[in-house]
Amino acid sequence: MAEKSWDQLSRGERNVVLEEMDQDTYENYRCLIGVSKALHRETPAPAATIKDNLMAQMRQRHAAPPKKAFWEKWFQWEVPVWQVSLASLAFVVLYLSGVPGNTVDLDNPGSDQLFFQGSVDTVFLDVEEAPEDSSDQRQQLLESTLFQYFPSWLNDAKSEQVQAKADRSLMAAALPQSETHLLPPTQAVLSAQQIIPLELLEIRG
Amino acid sequence: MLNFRSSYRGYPDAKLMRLITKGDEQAFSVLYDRYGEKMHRYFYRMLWQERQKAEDFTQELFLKIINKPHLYDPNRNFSSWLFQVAANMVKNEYRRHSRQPEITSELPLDLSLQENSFFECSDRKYFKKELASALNRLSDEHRQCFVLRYLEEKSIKEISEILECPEGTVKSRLYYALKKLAKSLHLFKPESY
Repeated sequence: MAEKSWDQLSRGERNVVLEEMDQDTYENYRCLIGVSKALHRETPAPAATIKDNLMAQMRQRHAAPPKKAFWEKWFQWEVPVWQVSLASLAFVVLYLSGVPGNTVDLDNPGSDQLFFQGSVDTVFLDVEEAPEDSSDQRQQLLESTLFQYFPSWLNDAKSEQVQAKADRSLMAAALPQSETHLLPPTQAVLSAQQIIPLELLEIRG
Repeated sequence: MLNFRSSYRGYPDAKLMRLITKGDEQAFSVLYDRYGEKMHRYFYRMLWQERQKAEDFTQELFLKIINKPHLYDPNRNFSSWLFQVAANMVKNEYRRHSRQPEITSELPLDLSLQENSFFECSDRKYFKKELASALNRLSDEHRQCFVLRYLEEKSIKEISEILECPEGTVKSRLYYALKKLAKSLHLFKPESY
């Protein structure tokens, strides 16, 4: 309608228009639109200050912010008051009620309580003292256990030594044992015991 | 600088918006030159020919572009998007003021009383004033459609995108807007202007 006058319309277009309005109405509408356009074009232009304001806003918005040292950022970090007060309150409540930890009340240990020990303490275990071993037994033990790992020639030499030692023991056993007789102490001994301590006497004897 | 600016003039709107997002002042300047006056005219026509209000709204619209350029979807037509934002601003303003001068009477308001004043109405200036008044008396939807279609020369499809309504609705609104305008101004003979 805004572009074509009645005369410029094709036959088909005219038929479409005639379904809604007659030719005069069409022309009137067309003129109305034309005048409205002219009216619209006469609208006063916007003030130049608008663009100046907008450009200033644009500069301000996209101006690079001055660089700050990290501690400045740290000190300027704003923490909401409610967070600080909540944290303080929580600290006070925990302090007054006792901070939950891994301490165990040994007097009243709960039967169904479960404790986890983080660090291992020193454990003392009572062990029976081993009996003193005689040198002969030790020697025998060493010989019986160690010799099996030595080479055969070393075993032979060692077995000779053992044999010699055994022979010496047999010879010593074969010697007539001197009988020890307990005689009553003589007068001299008795007098000596009174003068010399018994320990010294035994050492000298 | 002049060459730099003139090179920007050939840029499509979407590219200018991309540059504005990065803070390019010249791109914004070019975009404002392209749409500033047009949007001012639109606001002026839609907001009861109040110049101050139109200027405020124009400034506010472009401030949105500066502060929130990311809201623009580059896949969309920039002009349609801009008019959609403007149309929403206008709708909000209507809602805020509840100023909806609907025509309750089918009779033309001012002119019905002046049946015999045809010759008085022959003044072009007076006719334009009456036309502006008749536009104000249109309902918001009809005025939106009329201004966008015949004054801003948007297509029916674009108007349906801007106003977020079906094309059939736009056509219907346009028809009734024209009919109401013509009825309001039936004493005039527009051909003579």
